[in-house]
Amino acid sequence: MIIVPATTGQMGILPGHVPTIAELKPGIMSVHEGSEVTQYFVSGGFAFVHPNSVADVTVVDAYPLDVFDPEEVRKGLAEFNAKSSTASTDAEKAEAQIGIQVHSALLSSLGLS
Amino acid sequence: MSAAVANQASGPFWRAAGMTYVAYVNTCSSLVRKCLKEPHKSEAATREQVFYKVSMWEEGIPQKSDIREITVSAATSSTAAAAEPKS
Repeated sequence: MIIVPATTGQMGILPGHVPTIAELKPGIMSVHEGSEVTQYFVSGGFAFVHPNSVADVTVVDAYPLDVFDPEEVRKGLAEFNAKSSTASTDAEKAEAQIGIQVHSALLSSLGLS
Repeated sequence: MSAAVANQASGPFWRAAGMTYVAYVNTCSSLVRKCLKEPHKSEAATREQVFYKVSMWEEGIPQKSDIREITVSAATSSTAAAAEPKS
């Protein structure tokens, strides 16, 4: 079974899942094999479930959680929170929101706050 | 403000702000890469640059082709991707 971070929430995919195309948001994808769980932080992409129970997860970047630097993540979140308050154009607001979304997802994935 | 709220019903916030999906997902990925520890961070930085070749066609014959570059960089600049022609 895998659990992917769809934009509509955490989505679990088991054999027999209805064919689906799900857009993913930055977050954790966890692969469950028996009692073993492997987690990856994915930066965004799609999950496809095909009628023959094959699931493809296509993302731009995927990393195990131990390669992240918590200080960088906290710094990034603080930086984008600051940018969000000074943002004026729609583009700047969207960029700040993306920054906040990515860094908050990273922070909570690392189990920090 | 109310226009932005109305727009949210018609799609995600980045689309409402004029961003394409590709720009959005590459921005997210670029930000994720900036949070990596070394050596992964330097290795990932090599993926920030994309080269592509554009050929114009006329009457079934390719004309002069152009090699271009896209540099994805988020956080410091206000545009997510800039394409520059380079021949």
